[in-house]
Amino acid sequence: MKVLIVEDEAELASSISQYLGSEMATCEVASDYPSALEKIEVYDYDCIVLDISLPGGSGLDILETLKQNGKADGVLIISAKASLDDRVKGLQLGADDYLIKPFHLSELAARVAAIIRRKSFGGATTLSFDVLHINLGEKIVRVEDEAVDLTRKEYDLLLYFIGNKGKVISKGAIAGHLWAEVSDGVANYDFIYTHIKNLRHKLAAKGCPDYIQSIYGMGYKFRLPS
Amino acid sequence: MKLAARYNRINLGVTLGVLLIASAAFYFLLHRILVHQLDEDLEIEMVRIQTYLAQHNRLPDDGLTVPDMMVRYERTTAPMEGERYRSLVMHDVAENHTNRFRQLSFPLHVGSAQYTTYVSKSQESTEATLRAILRVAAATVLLMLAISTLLNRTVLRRLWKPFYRTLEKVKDFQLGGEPLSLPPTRTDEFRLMNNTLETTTGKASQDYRLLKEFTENASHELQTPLSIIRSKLDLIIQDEALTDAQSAHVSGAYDAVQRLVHLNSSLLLLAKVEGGQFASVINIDVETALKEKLEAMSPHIAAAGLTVQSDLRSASWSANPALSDALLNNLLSNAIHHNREGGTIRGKLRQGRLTVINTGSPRPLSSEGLFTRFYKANAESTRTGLGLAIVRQICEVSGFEVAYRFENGTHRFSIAWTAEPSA
Repeated sequence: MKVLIVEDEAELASSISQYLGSEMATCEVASDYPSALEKIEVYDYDCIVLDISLPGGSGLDILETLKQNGKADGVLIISAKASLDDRVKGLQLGADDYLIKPFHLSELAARVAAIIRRKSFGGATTLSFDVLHINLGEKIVRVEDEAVDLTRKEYDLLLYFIGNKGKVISKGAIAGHLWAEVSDGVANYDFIYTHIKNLRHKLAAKGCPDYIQSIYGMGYKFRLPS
Repeated sequence: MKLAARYNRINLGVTLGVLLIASAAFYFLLHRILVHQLDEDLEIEMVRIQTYLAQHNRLPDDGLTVPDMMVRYERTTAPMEGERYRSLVMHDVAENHTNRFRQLSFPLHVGSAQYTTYVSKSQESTEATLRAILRVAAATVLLMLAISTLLNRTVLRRLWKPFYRTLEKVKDFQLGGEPLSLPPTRTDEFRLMNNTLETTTGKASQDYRLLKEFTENASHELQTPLSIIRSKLDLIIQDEALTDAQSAHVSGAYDAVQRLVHLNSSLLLLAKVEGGQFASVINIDVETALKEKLEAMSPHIAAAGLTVQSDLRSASWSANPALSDALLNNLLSNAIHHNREGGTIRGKLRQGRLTVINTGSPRPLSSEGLFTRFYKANAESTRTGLGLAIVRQICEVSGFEVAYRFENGTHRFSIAWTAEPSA
């Protein structure tokens, strides 16, 4: 998997590339408009993480060039602007998703993973992790051949975990992912515990190993049990 | 009192006073002139009598008297010195009723006989003239007053029209809205006022716009460093060698960043709402929106150990969808976070009115400060203190009324809006 990170903030670019690079992809970084343009003309990427405001030009222009050249690279826009117009414009130009700063790296990773899945397997397909098989089109989770009955939140949570396999995800990031609008203010994330417990039980009931490791005081990590 | 009415009153008073004094002066002056004329007539008569006496050495016959003069000779032993004029009331023989007369008395010597001669002339015609003149004067005064009042009413109203038009415009003026454009006027004072107002409001608008832009830019600029901090924290926790103490530090940093993120997005939302960036309005089914919101918040509500009692009926309002959502969000999240363990949240929805009632602090909150920015009921609150400010701001731009009441130990927040007849 090849991911291009177009971001002028060096520290943010390095964080993203380190997070994505360690598990799922090879990352390249372009820190300004000309170098980003050059890279997308020469190479093909599975996903491009694209900042809108760049020195020397707009990320939206890069997106336009990309589409004009008939490239199929997935595009995730990251922007400091939450305005609806920007979002609509980005998606109309052919971006696959739109993420507003400041985001959690785990959120970014989950979205990049989703874009890559859609691009590389042409839509509805199966995602596997160890003995878990997820039919993304029908949203059905199976352990071996046995279907697991999950609520929508639990399904979301599972996909989120798989998109961040091997990574520690903070409770705040999980809460933000599942309940974006109301997880502000006081840091009381106790309620996510219930959902994780339920997911664990449902998977364990079908004979699935416990992939979800609790990290004390911090969050959770989805990984193959060692 | 209106300026015009005040001016009218003063004007009327002064005019009336001046006219009264002038009338009085006019009356006395005229009276004096007329009396003086009478006196001259009397004097002519006196001279005639004296001349007659000097020529004939006897008193003139009555028949020689000028028709409207009454002459009387009175024999006396103590003749008067010189002549005397006076006014008096006497019986008028010719007209057979009492009348005011002007009388001249003077001494006469016919041989050794001493007489006091009284020559009188009726003042009636003089007074009739005076009365006529006074009537004309009074009528003129009244007419002038009436005309001036009428003129003041119509002319002043017309003259002051630009002033009221300007006032109307200024009343409707809103910071951040359309620039103030005042109708042209030919009156210098009003033109000066309009120019000054336009300049001042223009400057205020500009300052306001700059401030808003500043807030918005500052918020945007903050997003990137916040992103970096958060991403670095996300990376730090990947380290398996973190000690518990380090984890606790990171956790604290996470919470602080979360608060900053929330604060920043709240400020940005406020700036955008004020800037009218949510202009498009649609009809929103509040009942459905509220149910969805309660469902979305159910984990928070459960975690806070609260029970929800909802009494919802179908209702709708016209609002921007993003703002409507933010409004419900802040209203409910306020009711959750300022509640107490085991408390309740009651939602009551009727067409035109939404009330959210929550248990919480046993004391009423300051309904003044409650909706201001950064208001915090208790100092250690980790909330931004912007939630209700956002609620009020959204209500303001959406034309809703928000109110707070403390009743039976519960905090009631109600939002009232004008229900559309079709809904």
